[in-house]
Amino acid sequence: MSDGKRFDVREERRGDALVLRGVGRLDSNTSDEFHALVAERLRSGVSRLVIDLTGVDYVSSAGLRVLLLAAKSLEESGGRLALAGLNPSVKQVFALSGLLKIFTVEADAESALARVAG
Amino acid sequence: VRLQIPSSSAGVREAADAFERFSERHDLSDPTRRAMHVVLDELLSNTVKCADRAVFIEVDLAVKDGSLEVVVSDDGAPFDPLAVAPPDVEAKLADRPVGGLGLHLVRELVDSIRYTCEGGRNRVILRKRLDV
Repeated sequence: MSDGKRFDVREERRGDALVLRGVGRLDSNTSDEFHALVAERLRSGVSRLVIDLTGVDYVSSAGLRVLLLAAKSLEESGGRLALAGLNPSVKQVFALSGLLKIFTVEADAESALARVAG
Repeated sequence: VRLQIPSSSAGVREAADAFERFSERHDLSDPTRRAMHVVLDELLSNTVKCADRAVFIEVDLAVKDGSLEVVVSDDGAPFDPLAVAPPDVEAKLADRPVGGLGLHLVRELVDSIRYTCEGGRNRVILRKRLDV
């Protein structure tokens, strides 16, 4: 990561699904910007979303908040969300928060894409 | 190592960068390093968010007796993070508040946590055993 930039997102369209690949830290410093991006994409009509966390080192509660907001929004609109690539530490944070029961979590982005396709 | 940081999001970022360098120097494992990043982010962002004025925050980092010891102190209003009720982690999505997980994560990710308030300073003393 370049100095000063601690979280990056790469976007990829796959059919009618959008894949957001995060790289870096998803914490109190970076979550607002990520939230703004996710909210904008949902507003613009994305209803099948994959968030790939393979490149994310750790996620704090500020990051969980962004993911929960996205999940709630997509549940209300009848869309689908799947997460991919949680490292063991990120998975632990999800487990401690009871979120593995709430989110669709796959090992990689391709499997997650299959879960949101329809 | 003692860090003195301002009560701002820039201060929280500064602490995360300093902890990353500390982790490299002490060769902390990924699980320990990542867990402690989360813990620091929760405690410091909480202090910054709740401060009604500029608060003076100190973070002490030390490796001793096979543990990582972290002391976070501030001169803000007394606040005991251990007194906060745990969230309902069984609730389904629609009933879930999107916040309130931070201090729960802090309590779960460390091996011991103590809180004191003396001389006008909050002190949270955390210990995490290092992997063998």
